Amino acid sequence: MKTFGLPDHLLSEYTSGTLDADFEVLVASHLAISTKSHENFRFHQEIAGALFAGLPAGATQPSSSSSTHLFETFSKALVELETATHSVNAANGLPQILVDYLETLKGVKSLSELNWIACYEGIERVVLTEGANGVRARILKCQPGAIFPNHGHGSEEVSLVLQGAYTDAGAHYVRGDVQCISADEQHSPVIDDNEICFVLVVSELPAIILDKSKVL
Amino acid sequence: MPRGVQPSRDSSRDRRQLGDADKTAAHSAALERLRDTQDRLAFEELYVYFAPRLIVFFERRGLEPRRSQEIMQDVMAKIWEKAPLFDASKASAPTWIFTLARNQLIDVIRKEKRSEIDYTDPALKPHEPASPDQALQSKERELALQKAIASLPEDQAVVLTGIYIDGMKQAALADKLGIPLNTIKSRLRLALNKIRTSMEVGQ
Repeated sequence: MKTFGLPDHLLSEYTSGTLDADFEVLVASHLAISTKSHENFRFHQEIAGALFAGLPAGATQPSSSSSTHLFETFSKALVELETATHSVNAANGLPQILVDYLETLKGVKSLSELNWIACYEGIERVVLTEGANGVRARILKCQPGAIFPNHGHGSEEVSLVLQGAYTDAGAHYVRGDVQCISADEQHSPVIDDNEICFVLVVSELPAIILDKSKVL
Repeated sequence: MPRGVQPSRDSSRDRRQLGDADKTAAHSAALERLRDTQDRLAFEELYVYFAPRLIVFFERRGLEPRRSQEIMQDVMAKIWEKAPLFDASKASAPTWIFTLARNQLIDVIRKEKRSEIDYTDPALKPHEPASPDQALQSKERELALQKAIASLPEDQAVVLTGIYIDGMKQAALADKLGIPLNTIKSRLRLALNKIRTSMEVGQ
């Protein structure tokens, strides 16, 4: 359960570019607000680069005039330096990629503009994406001291702390930290009592609440 | 290798791959020349090596040959545009170009699927001049990486290629190879651990 950086399976698929958009946003958001996975991410990119450079050339050959043609085109182009988007939004401190994602999905640029819906005592949520089996990505807004009802998951669940902090199974998770909960684990996180906590949570299958009396 | 030490069974594969670290250094140097002086020959050198491999990469990701050809050209355009951001101490030329190719591929797929998320990578941040120490470290790191990949058992190498090059999910790879998902997971874990260990030792 205790995880602060990203596990290899997420980093390898992120490097490869094959994660679904919601998981991808979580990974990129983590890289924007935490340095805990930077070294490992570089490691995965290096492996991909080495495998790529080692590919044999294939049957389809580039046409020989292309390089010259491309060169003529580019030498006239002005170079604009882009800002990296593993970046943080200056206005609200959120990962820029998450702000872009919220804008795409919900038409808003900050957490305060979202329509929060109460789900447990002291905990509200906004669903970002749904799959065939139910909720996949959501953001949770947790009041100081709130306690999640004990719950399990039909599949691995990955959480990223966007603001605030919580404790779960003896580990303390702060802004930028990742927690992976496998399909067979149950947990009941407790929010720190001095600050509101926002968490981005993504899983292929929705959470399974064991104590139904806590559901609002 | 000291005299009298038996070469390992894999030494021929090691030798075949070992030249690649030099090649990688040469590609990185070409990209630096392109960055610093818009050197046309440097671009040509990168084109000759990477254009065919970009096409192979996009074809292996399921794109038609003609489409792969087009997107290769887009990536070569990005290499030209973004060369000012290249920093050899942060990423080698192949790693940097792979990242551009991966981002281009995501753009293509997203455009087809409507939603668009634009972002770049830490590998694409503006460069600061590297110290000679860093350059040496990068070269040694690359050498250790190449060596470690070359000496992986075939069943682990297949998993790495499936994930990073063919862009397969672990479950799809398990189906394709006809082995359990857990075997894929453990082969990935073993492979990454081996490469990590060799790179730590190599530094």
